Amino acid sequence: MRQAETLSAGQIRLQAGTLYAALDRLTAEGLIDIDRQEVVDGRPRRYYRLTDDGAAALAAESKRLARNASTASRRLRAHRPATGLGTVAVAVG
Amino acid sequence: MRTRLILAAYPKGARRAEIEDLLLMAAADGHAEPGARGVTNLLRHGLRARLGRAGSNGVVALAMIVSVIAGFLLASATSRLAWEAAPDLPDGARRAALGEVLAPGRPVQWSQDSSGDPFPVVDGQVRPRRLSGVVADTAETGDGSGYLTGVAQRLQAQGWRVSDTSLTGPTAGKTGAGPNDAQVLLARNAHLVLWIEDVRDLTERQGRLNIHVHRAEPPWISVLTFVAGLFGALLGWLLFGWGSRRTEHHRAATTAAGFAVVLAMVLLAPALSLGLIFLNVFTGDYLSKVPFWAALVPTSTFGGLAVAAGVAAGTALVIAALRRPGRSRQRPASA
Repeated sequence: MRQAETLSAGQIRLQAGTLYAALDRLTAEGLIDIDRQEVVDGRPRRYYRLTDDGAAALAAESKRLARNASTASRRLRAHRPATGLGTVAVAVG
Repeated sequence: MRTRLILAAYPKGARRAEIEDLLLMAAADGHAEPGARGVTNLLRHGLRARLGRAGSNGVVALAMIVSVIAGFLLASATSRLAWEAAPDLPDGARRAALGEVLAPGRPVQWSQDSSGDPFPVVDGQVRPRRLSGVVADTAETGDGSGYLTGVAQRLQAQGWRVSDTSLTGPTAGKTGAGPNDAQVLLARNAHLVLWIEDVRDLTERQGRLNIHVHRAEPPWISVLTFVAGLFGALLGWLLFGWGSRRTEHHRAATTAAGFAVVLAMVLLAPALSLGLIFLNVFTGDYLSKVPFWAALVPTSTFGGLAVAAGVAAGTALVIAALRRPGRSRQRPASA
């Protein structure tokens, strides 16, 4: 939860229930697995790791997002700001 | 203590302690205990985790339907039992006093189902026990509209709420004796629902006053039934989740139990549909002609389907009980 908040610069505040639901779903899909487990103060603490399938899925998803971001950046660079206030293009028909 | 109570929404097993550990770590980092949003999040995902089969939307849809049905069943059983403690139909002095309001100075021939069952099954239909009365034709009762207006005024003076008066004639009499003219009045107070029909056979030039008295549902039964329905829905969710988790990694058991559950749903569909219709009648202004759980009574018309549904649901539970909770490819993340 802390890491999600740090990595997203405070934009994502993950709730515990949401986190474990995601872990269950990813485990069921074989994308992550329990790496190791330790007992701290009588409570189990589990560490999860990406499986090979998970790493492949993450790479594919990362590539897809990068492609989308790249397309958006390209379109943004090609965008020419309007020359005056109130100038709009209206299509009729 | 509060956190552990919230985490009880999750199925028994290591997951509860795992989340507790996470929350304690978060608290050590300076995060406050889960607020309303966090608690709701834990309850929602905890109840979802009870169903097992992470990632399946179908199991959630099925669990919701099972919950509604379980709520309906427990509400039905509670309502039926609660009626045993409801005030009985008027007798003796109370009955005579009612007769005096309806037909002052004239004898009312009262009759009541002799069985002690508050909901006897008559011709396959569950009917609430009622008190019936007949007043012989007189010049006054012959004037249907005028007479019932007087009855309505007397009832209102006694605290009754007259909900409806309607003309139900001329129609062909059930006996085929000829056309008749009839007017009906409905009234209710805190304890009783009254149905009065001033009927006049236009051919025979004779008439009578038919009276039916039912017990009105006391507010405490309505509240108890509603609460039982909510409790039943929760119980249904937990029971379904238990079975779903036990059969999760057994394909044959999942198929068999799933089939039995869906079959039970289909078999209960008529009872549930009729229940919703009856519920509308039951809680409306009209008298409680049929209790909302009527189609669940084994000796009623649809009772056989309800019994078969019970057998199917029982089979699903037995299949689940005979299975040990399965293991996934990975080590289980929750019990």
